[in-house]
Order: sequence, then structure tokens, then C-alpha cells
Amino acid sequence: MDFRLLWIIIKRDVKGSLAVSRSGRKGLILTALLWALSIAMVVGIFYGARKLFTFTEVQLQAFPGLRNVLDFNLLNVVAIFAFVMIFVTEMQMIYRMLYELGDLPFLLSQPIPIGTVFASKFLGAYVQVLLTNLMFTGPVWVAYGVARQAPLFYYPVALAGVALATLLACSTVSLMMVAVMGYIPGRRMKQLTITAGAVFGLIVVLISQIASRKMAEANVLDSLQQLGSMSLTQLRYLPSTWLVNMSLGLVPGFGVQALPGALALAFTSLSFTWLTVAVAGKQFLRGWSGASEEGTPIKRAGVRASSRPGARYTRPPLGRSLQGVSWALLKKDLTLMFRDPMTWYNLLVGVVVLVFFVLNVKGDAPDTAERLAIQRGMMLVMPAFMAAVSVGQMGGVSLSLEASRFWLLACQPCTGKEVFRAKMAYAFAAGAVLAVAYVLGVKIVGGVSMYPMWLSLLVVLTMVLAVSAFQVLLDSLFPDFTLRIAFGETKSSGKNAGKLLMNMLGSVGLVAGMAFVLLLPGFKWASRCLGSSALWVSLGILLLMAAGIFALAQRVAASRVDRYLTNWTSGSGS
Amino acid sequence: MIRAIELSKKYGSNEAVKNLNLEVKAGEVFGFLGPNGAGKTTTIKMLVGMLSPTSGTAEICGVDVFKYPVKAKSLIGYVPDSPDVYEKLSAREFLRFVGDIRRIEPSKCESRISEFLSLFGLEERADDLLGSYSHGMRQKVCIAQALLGEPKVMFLDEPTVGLDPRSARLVKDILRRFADRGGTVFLSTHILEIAERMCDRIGIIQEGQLIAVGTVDELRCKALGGTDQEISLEDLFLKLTGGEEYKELIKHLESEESL
Repeated sequence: MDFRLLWIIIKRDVKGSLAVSRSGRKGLILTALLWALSIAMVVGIFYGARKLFTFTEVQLQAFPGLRNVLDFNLLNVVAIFAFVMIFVTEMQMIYRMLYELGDLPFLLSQPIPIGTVFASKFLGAYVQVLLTNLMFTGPVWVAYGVARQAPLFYYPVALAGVALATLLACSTVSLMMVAVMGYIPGRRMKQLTITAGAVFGLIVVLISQIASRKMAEANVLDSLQQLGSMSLTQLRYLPSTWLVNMSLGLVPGFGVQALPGALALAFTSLSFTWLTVAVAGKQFLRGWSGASEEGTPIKRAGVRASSRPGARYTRPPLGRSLQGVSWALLKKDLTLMFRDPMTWYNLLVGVVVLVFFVLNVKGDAPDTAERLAIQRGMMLVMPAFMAAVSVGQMGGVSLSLEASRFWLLACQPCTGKEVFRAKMAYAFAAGAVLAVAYVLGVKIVGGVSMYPMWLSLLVVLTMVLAVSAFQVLLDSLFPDFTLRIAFGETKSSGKNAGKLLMNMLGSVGLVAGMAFVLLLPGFKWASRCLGSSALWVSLGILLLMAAGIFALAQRVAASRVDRYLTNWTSGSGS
Repeated sequence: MIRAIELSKKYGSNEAVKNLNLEVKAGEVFGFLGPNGAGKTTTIKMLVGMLSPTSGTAEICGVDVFKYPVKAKSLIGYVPDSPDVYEKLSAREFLRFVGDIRRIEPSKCESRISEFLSLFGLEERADDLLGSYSHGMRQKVCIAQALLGEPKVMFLDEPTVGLDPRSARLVKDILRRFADRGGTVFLSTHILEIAERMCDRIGIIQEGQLIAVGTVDELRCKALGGTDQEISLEDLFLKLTGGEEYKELIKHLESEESL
């Protein structure tokens, strides 16, 4: 390892990341918005955690021993959660930092030891993971210190503990990756981690279900006592226990020793980091070479047949009958969707959220007609919100995602209207599948009163149609042809995240507007004025709104796309 | 076949193309030469209808490119300078996509795809994702997509960059045959040997202005003022584009090497 070179690379990386953040007024606004949201989230977590710790303090005042065990377990669970997060979700980001950064070919072609190149990228990944970890779990540790009036040195020690624990998790993930990447191509690796992420999400949903059922059966105090009775203090081999011991050992009254935990955590973290860099020095190049392997043959009977000399290829009936720009684009987008792990990951997340909602939607029969209308309306607003989020990440950026390949459309005989229709159909399809699945799921699970099935589907699909049209409109008005929704990249790229955020917020605002219309029969003044026809009036307004948005989107978006088609400068589209 | 009338393009205060007038006939291979940043790509993009001009107009087979872009584009095949393709599609799927957009009858499209894949030696890897292709292989796929729709006019921006000598030769042969059958080829290149051997006429653009048009012999004659002196296209290019100072530098470097 050459520390001088390592320092040079890190200096350049830091300068580079600062340069990216200076990206014009629009970029600054988006960055500021992201910062504001992040701060709001941190404050929210801090507030919630402090409330919980204050609650346990008050409730268990008479049982200090039990309270200590409970504190220990809660913080341990937080630490374990952070570990699992890093192992599953942050793995994507670590992979990108280690294997997909654009400067790797340059660095590897220079006379720099491979271990040093790896160490620089590992450090970058570690800093990003640490920041994310601090954003989610940092407020909990601080909230604990505030709630328990911990001594001042508790805070730096807890922070150091989190940093060391993150280093341990990050180096373990990197070590596994370096070892595995020598034998598995990058494409397969991405699929593996994404599937693991989705499975993790599903497990979290199931665990939360079991926990909420248990909580529902017992009162809060009983639940806390149950949690306190599990003693994670006994599991001394867990790094999370070291971390908690290290921090709580300095808080009076706990009776645990800080030093053994701190030493164990520091020794293990640094050893693993050293081991990772050492192994990477030998293995990294091999894995990096295979990272860009994409050459998986697409094996299909028809394709194979056509490859045989003299064999006559028969395209499937759907493929034969669907020609023209719109169909060709839609087919292409759907094909790419299923081949792009990041896109179907978004869909999987949507499915996980959907399962969560369907299992949790419950409600007693309302006593008034207005309340019933509100309940029924809300049941349809929820899938529209979900679809808005999913559509925002797929159809809502599908024009931007044409990116550097837009030349192909620009030189073909196609019109903006045809492109709009294709993008619209793509956006609608994704949202419609989720929304219909939700309505059917709620109907089958049957926990709550809903409008008749045909009406529910009509309303939900109308809202998804409006949201899709609005998303495509936004994408055509503010395209970002440098957008890249790649594996693990959405978090790190402020501009990308800003574009997605803008789409999502716009759509959520639109759904909120439609929700107001849909919930009209639930407002007393509306039912008084309109009587029994309130529902039909609100549905009529909703249909008109959707039709209006679609017509406006088609007109404006098609003309914007026409402009891009005839005035295309790569990268900007204007 | 191709007509540019007073075609200009400004980017802010920078005038990338200035009042370009040009005519290329059917059956002709026209080479478009010029130093880096001279306005070659901008001109091609305007002629293809991908970039609107600041002023002037262009016609393809008598169709105004800017008034009737869809009709004009149906007559055109275009190969960009950088072969950006959908990395998650296979070559076969990519070509099918183009075929579907151009509404080529499916069975005809399939047979043409097979023909091009075999012609460019891509048959074995036709079902691999384009992300696994080399630059040269992607370039071949881009050339195939341009030819797929049986265009009347082909625009190629640096078509042989990244191609191995065999493939480059193949592309030259294909384009020559295309022109012999009545098609028009408009290509930009830095490889003067290609321009000299392949092109019926050459246009040289510098700082957005077309400074010379004609056959290589006509350009030689123009540059040397009618003398019988022998001059290579490289020297001619440097003379016309004011790059003669580089010759001094090359001579200097050569003399240093010999020391």
C-alpha cells in the first residue's frame, strides 16, 4: 500500500465530489431540498426515539434493572438493524463504488499498487455508508443520551463506536464481494444483491406484522417487559453488543465495562479492513475484469431457431402484429425494464409496500354515511399514492432514460405523439398493475368496506392514468438526459435523486388533489348540497380531471418531444 | 438528393456552421472533411433533421427536412459518431426495434437482419447483450440499423472509427455498392485515405464554412493554381485548412528522433 498515492487519489476524489455539488441554480435548489428532507428525517427520528426513551424512563421508573436491560436491547436492535442495512441495502452502493466508478480504468492503468486503488475506493464507500448509517441510527444514539442525561463523553464514544461498527460491516461486505466477484460476473452479482434486498424487505414486513399482532394482544407495558426479558447482553460475541457495551459502559448505573467492548470492536474492525485490502490487492483486478460482463445470451426458442442456418424464424404473434413507433418503444421499454435490476427492484419495493398495506388495512364499519364514504375513498387513494411513487421511478423518467440513445429516435421517422403514447403506456402499465393488485388484495383479505369492484377499479385506473400522464408531462418538460438510474446510484447522485424527487412530489400533489375530489361525499357540506348524487358528482369531476390532464399532457408533451426529435444535441436535448 | 441552402447554426455567439450551400447527387459518395470542431457533425445532424438550423434549409430527395421531418427521415439512414446503443438489448433485438419503428414487414425485416448480422460477422453473438460488445462491434450494429430501412441517403459520421481493417474495408465496399445502386452517401472522416479512395467528391469545412468542394483532382488544381505539381490529399488538406505549421513540427520531431 502506497499511502502517498492513496492520499493523492482521495484528495482528487474529494475535490471531484465538491465540484459535482456546484451544478447550477437548479441543481443547488434540488440539493437544498434534499438536505431539508434529510434534516427533517433526522429530526423526526430523534424526536420519536427521545419520546420512546422518555416513555420507558417514566413507565419503568420503579424497575431500573429492567429499564437498563430494555435500553440495552433497544440500542442493540438499532445496531443490528444498521448492520443488516449495510449487508443488504448498502451492498449495492459498495458494489458501485468498488467496481463501477468511471475512473477505475484510468487508475488501474497507472503505476499504482492495486491495493492502493482498492483502498481509495473502499474509503469512499465507507464514508458514504457511514453518513447513511449516521443519518438513520445517529439520532437514536443522541436521543438516548439526551433522554438519559448521559455524560458529555458518551456522545463522541458512541459516535466512534458507530464508526468502528460501520467499518467492520463495510469491510466484511467488501471482503465477501472481492472474494465472490472473482467467480461471479457483475450482472449476476447485481441480481443476487437485489434479490437479497427484496427478501430482506419482505422479512421486515413479516416481522413487523408478527410484532404488531403481539403488541395488539398485550398492552404497551407488557410489550416493554417482554422486550426487556430478552437479554441480548448475554450474546457477547455480537459486534452490536460490543458497540452498546462501549457506549453504555460510560453511562453510570449500567454496570458494564466499556473497554473490552471498545477493544474488541476496534481490533476486529481494523483487522477485517486490513484483511480486505490485503485480499483485494490480489483478487480485485480479477473481479473488476468480470464486473462489466453482460454477455448473457438471451436464450429463446425462436431466437435459437433463427440462428440455425436455413431455419425460418417465426416471430411470436404479438410481436408480428404490434408494429410502429409506439409499440416498438413500449416493447423495448418493457424488455429493458425486466433486464434492468434497478427498475424491477423499484417494482419489488412497490410489491412489498403493497403486501404491507393489504395486511394492515382494517377498520370497523363506520357509523355515518360520510365516514363510510371517507373510508371507501381512502381505500382507493392509497393505491394511487403507491402507483404515483412507482410510476415516478419508471414511466416518469423513461424519456430521460433514453439519454445518449435518443439519437436513434431523432433520426427515425417518428413523431412526438407516438413517443408520448409509448411512454404513457409504459408509465400506466406499471402503476396499473400495482393498483389493481392492491384493490384485489384488499377485496380478498376483506378487512374493510370498499366500493363495488368495478367502481373501485375504474376510480383507481383513472387516477393512475392521470398520474402517468402527469409524470410523462413532467419528464418531457424537464428532461434530464444525463439521468442514470443505475444499481446503487440513486442515493449518491444528487441530481438524479432530485429529478426523481420532483417527479414523486408532483405526482403525490396531484393524487392529493384527486383524493380531495374523491372524498367529497365524505364532507358534510358536500353531502348536504348534493345529497345521494355526491358520489357520482365526485366521480364525474375525477374523470374530467383525468381526461383534462391526459389531453394537456398529450398536447404539451408531444410537442416538446417533437422539439427534441428535431433539435437534438446529445446530453441536453435542447 | 441532398441539398443544403444557406444552412447556418449558431450556439450563442459561436457560429458552428455559416451559410453552407451544398448539393450531392444520387449515386455519389461525398466525403466531408475538416479539422476537429469545424462543424462536420453539426452539419450532418442538421441534414438528418436532428438539429434545427438557425437559418437556411435542407432537402433530401426534394423533401424539406425541417418542414417534413418524418417524411425526410424515412428516406435517411444515419450512423452517429459515437455508437450509443441500448446495452440491455441484444443486437438482434436492437435491429428488430429499428425495423418495427420503420414498419418493415416482419419476415422481410428478419431476413435483412440475418443478412446484415452475417455480413458483419455478428451472427454468433447476435443474441448477446450489446453491453458486452466492443466499440467496433457496436459500430457495425449502428451501420446495420442505418441500412435496415433501405434508405435512399446514408449519413455517416466517422463510420470507420473503431473498426478493424477488414471491417473497415467491408463498410467501404458496402457504401460503394449502395452508391452504385443509386443511393447517396454523405460521410465525414478524418481518414484521408478513405476520402481519396472512396469519395467521388470531397467538401472541406473549416470554422463552419465550406472552403472547398470538388473531386480530389479539382481540389489539387485549385490549391496549386493549375500547376502540374504532385501533392497528396494530406498536404492538400493541410494547405487548405491552414495546418502547414504542423509540418514544421513533424520535421523537427523527426530530426530529433534521428539524433
